[in-house]
Amino acid sequence: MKNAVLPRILKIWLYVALIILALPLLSMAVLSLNQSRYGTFPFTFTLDWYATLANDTALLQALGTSLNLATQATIFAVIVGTLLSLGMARSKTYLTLPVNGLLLALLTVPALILAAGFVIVFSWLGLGSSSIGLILASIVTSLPFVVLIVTGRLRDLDEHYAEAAHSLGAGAARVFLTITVPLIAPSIIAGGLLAFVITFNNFAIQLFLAPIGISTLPVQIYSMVRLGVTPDVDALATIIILSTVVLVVVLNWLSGNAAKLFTTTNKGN
Amino acid sequence: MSSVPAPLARRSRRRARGAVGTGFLLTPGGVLLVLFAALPLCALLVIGFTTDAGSFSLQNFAEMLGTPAYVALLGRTLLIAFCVTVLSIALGWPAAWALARYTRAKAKPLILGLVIIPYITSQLLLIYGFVSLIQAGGPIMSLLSAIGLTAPQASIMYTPTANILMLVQESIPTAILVMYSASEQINPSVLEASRTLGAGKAFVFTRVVWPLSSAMIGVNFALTFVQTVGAFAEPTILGGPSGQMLGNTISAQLQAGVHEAFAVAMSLVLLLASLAIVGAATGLLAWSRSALSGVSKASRPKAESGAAQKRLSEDALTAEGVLR
Repeated sequence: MKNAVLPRILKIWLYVALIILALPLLSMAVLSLNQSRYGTFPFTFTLDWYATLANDTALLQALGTSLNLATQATIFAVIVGTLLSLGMARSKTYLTLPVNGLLLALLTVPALILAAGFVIVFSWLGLGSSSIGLILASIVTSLPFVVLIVTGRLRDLDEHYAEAAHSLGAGAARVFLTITVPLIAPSIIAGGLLAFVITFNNFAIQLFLAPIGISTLPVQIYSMVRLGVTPDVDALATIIILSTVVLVVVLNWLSGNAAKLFTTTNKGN
Repeated sequence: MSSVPAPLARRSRRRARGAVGTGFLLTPGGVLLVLFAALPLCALLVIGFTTDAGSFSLQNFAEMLGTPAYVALLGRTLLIAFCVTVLSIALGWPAAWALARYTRAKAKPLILGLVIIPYITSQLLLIYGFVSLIQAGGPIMSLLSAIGLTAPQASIMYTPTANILMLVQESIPTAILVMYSASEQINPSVLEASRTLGAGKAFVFTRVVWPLSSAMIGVNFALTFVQTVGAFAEPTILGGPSGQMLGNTISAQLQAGVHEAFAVAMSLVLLLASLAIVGAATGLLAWSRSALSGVSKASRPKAESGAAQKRLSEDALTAEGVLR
């Protein structure tokens, strides 16, 4: 047990890091239950800010806009991304290379710079500051995540299942629907969840592309935080964070390990 | 001779249909990518290199690089992004190592969940929580003033420090997740072997752990640096007058809609500079790997190093994708 000092220090380091990561989130949860209008102490318990939130139409409308946008963009990103992955799995390198290059560019160019590009192109196409532009930009920026997850799964897929189905007389459509789709379904769901989270949070894109007079939640909070914090935003944040916790727990329960989604490299699974 | 065996005939027909099918699968995604990934990036190049009148020129770049204020801002932005990246990796790596090596298998999903929650929480909510934490009279400041360390109404809001702390806070989950993958990939028996062969702790770290982790450090560096260099919400909200970054200027000019070409030129310079720094850092890490692992490049079989290179780039691609 002479060597046990370093592990202990590192474990304490890990716990301290977890606490630091949790602090802003816990702070909002505590302040949402605190009486003070300006988020100051001493702490007096109240649920008033949740009641205030229920009447804050601007904030709730922004939340609705964000949920709506994320849902629409996710549906399209999942369909297009899955088709693209299936197509790329059967294509030659001269086709997959440029597609992969573009996907990688979408991931590595800072969102602000990408947003500048979108603004220019949408104004060329006559889509400037329209909901369609916002949805298109959201689809494109979440597409790489769907493709990477589904492609990873397709690469690991055992071809023998499809071959067995073929040799037993199933047609291409039947093989696809009864063999391929069920086998890649978990990755489609995972990609969809990731796409949803990413479009919901994609602040830079939304700030520059949202139509005038329409705010998504991040844009709305951005304009509010500059005027100072208010506890009803804390209340909303607490609800969102609790939903995130539920999401992670459900993912854990579904896949055994939610973290795999976020840490997987292409080794094995 | 005329009767081809039935399965063969069917297969060739299937392949022909397959080609049409593949085109059908690729079309929607391909069109989207060409219109809204390739075109915007080309548009940035075109706009950056044209004058307001519409002719080709380097005027925008000359104007930016000729103005000391902008060059200083660019330098500060790159410096902040570099410090934030290095700090977040330095803080995240030991935690990731503890998670990969010294945590019970049952506790891992829980701890990873705790890392993922801030990772997928909206950046604006994190900023909001951070502001509520550090504002005058907030939890941290009232604690510090209760101990008597600061004045009751003091705060680090609107300082470069607040901006940097916020950016580090946002980057730590990425660092833990990436370096966790890196730590998991190191086979424990390799460490065991080097220890039983008499290597000291420092030697094990520099000659075994570092060379085996440096590729993922490179991935982590690229991810965090590129994200941080384009930050504009954090410095706008937290940075105060002396904590601004180039992203502020770019976003302000884009939003105002005047002199768009200049903002685009600044974005291009920023992109190019950050790619150069990421490239240099990756190269330095690769050099340190070969220098420290004691295997010189020349003595390693060429095919093997080529394969390793390919595997590395594939890994980087996947990791980049999965980790935002």
